[in-house]
Amino acid sequence: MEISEFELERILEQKIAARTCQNLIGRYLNYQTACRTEDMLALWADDPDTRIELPWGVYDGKEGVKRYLAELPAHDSEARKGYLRVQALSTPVFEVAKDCQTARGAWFSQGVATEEKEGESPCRWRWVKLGVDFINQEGQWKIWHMVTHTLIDTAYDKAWYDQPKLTVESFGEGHTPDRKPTWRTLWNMTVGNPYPTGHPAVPRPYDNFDLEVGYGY
Amino acid sequence: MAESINTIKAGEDKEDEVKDLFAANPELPKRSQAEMSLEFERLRAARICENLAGQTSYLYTASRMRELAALFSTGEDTVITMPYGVYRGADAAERCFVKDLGDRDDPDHVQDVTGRMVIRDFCTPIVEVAADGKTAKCLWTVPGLEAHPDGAGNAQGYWSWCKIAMDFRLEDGTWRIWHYGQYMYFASEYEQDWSAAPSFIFAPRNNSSDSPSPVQYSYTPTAIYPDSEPEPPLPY
Amino acid sequence: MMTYDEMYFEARKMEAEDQIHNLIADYCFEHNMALQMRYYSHWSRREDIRHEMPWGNTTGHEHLEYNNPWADRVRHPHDARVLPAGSLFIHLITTPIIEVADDLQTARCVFLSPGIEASAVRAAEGKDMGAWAYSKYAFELIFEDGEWKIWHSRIFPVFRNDYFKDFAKAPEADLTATKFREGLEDFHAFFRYTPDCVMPKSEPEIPLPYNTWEPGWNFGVD
Repeated sequence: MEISEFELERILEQKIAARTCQNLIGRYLNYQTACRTEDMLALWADDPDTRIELPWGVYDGKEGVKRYLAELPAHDSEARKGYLRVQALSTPVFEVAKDCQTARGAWFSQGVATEEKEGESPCRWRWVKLGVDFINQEGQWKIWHMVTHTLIDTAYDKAWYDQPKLTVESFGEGHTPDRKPTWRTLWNMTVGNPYPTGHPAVPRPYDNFDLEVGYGY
Repeated sequence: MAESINTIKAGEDKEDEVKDLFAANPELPKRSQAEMSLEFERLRAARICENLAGQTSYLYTASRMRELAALFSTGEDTVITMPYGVYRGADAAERCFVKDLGDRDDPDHVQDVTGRMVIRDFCTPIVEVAADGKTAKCLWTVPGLEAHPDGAGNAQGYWSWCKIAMDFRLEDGTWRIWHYGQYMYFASEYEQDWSAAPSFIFAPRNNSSDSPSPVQYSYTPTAIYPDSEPEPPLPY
Repeated sequence: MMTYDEMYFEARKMEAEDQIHNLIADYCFEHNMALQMRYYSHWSRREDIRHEMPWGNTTGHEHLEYNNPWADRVRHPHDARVLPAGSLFIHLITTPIIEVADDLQTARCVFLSPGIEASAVRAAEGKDMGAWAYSKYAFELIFEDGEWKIWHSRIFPVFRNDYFKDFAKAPEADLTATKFREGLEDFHAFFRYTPDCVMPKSEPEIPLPYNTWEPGWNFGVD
């Protein structure tokens, strides 16, 4: 063998971490469809830098995530009748840090959302890109940062080129984030509006994550 | 160029630098050779199962049903749950895929195969291989589509979103599909959204399933999505 | 129990599989962000590269750039700025089957690819504005200078229909009539759904485990 046993085991840890994290985000999205918010919350890290970012803003800390999850229909409520949200993850780019303490993934996600909306079909196409960072807390992998970038969010009876302009205000109704989104503007498919790069940044191999340094690329 | 195990030449791995990364972090578990071997086998098993799941999609689309059935276990405890019925036993896959759905090369099934387009995108993989490395429990979210001829020279397209759960078992050194279950989200005609009508459930002309499917969710404006249809796999 | 050498081989193979999956997914992200010119950095420098698109094929590098519908508009490295703004291209990869040869020198993979193509520019002109674009991909890759590179690539179209037309009823456009044909060679007759069709048997042919590369898998057969 051309490498040390230490290096072999380190690579093994990286591969185990990759599989564990991809299973974890898969469970998270399945729980989301069932509004199993307690099970969703349990997959998040209890860390000062924990955060979830939606098109309308950022929720900070695990407490912030809890507040966001409380905005979803309650598990035992009548509001869940006819409510269906599915996000299917594909097109993964995934990297585990060399030190096996953090990991990050970017995905495309084709999805649907079904909820009553006046004057519109209740059925929507909702395709997004997802960026997730994971952290190893005492041997348990948890979701650490999550960001959603909307590609399309259209009622079924409208084509994507006809969707109303996506704005923080239109998404934000009924939501109370801690702060505004961290990117300047939601992209809309309009003439003269180039598609932004870095939404999310595609993971590259990296050594370790230091809050001062970031991912180093 | 990214550095990786496949670019490091013998004697050039930067073990000291990498160990520095670990200095502030928990150490590696320092597994024995047997423990490491089992972990590598489990990881390889997960990849084999993912590839097998992919094969079911491509083979089904191409109506290569004999090859698809050959991926399944022939144990008496084999179970295939389709939205239109449940098949059990050693010949479950043979009946479900070859006898009922029909292979592309079978003259008796020309009518079933012609105009049938079923495409299932396997997404959101959850692949849990048992600690002993002998079985696996898996779940995929499967956005997909179908098209079926109407017998009058036209065809109808459907969006058909479901989940597919598979259990795998290692049998004589080969991984086989042991349990297979398809659970609907919705299936709707292309021209209308999935709230407009009950889901379209395709059933083959010949249905030799052993029992009706257990009550399963499919979208209606009053239905509540269930917690565990099926339960996402956990480590075991 | 595996020997250390066997585990080392497994580690290398898994690393190759992951890099390949990341590479193809990364291309999808680049395409979505109108960074198609980066695509060319993913190709092998060999002269027997082969790029097979629904409108024709190219061998080698001379005409590779022309097998790209945006070739005349995205020559600049910062092509996100040059591309007519307001285009939306989403091509996902799902249902992966990835097989790396036992000699770790080549690999084969296939994917399904649901997708969307839409253009605000064309919508403003009243033209073809938005389509579902479903296809399948087959790739052969080669390990070159310590990196995985695309060696052969083929897209198998499934359908491309206007948003308001059922894919089971809308005929697919004949893409061989498109204007970007500089240097394109032979093309394959491609699948179109009709109520009396039988789905193609091997579009693409599924990769199986293999020891070392030999020709004839998906490329060079019809």
